[in-house]
Amino acid sequence: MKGKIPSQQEEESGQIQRERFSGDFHRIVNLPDDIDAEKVVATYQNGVIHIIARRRESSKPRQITIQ
Amino acid sequence: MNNENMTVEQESRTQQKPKASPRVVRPNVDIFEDKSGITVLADLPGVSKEALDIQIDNEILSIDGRVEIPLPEGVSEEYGGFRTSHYQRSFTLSQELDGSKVEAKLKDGILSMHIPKREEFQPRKIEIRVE
Repeated sequence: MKGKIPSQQEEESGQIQRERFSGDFHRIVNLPDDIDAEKVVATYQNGVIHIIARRRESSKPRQITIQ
Repeated sequence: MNNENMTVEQESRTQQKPKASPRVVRPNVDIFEDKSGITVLADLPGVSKEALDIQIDNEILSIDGRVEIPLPEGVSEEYGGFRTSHYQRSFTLSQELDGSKVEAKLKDGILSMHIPKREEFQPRKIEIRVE
């Protein structure tokens, strides 16, 4: 994940308080081995990125029928 | 800033007494001043327009936003970097600011508010007449 938060100071304005982060950010999250990389879905809303990574079908638990 | 107390913002302590709930946090803000007034930017990720409440009462401007992040059913938080559920912060406006004319916008989880100075505090150009 990579992104940039632009600095929003307008010209000719004095800064009274600065607490918000601005600049580049970068974050890596390790995923389990059995994630299906083809089926990762990401949405972005209200400043939050929401990434759904599902397990591969083959690695899901399944019921074994006894014959 | 040549005249600090003329300008903005002392945060009101009253609303921030020892946390009522550990899930209430103060959003980070940037505050800028220009000739026309002040601009406040607040980070409110996860807060939608509907879940955000801004009020002015007796020169106290309060921001109150609920974080709504839908988690799929049966999913629990494995890595709790985002556990905040409530943002709250309030500011006392100085006399020269006009609390009745606050404009607020919310985009990508960032609240931007402009609070103009009262007209009598706005810079004015004086016309010189030639006689």
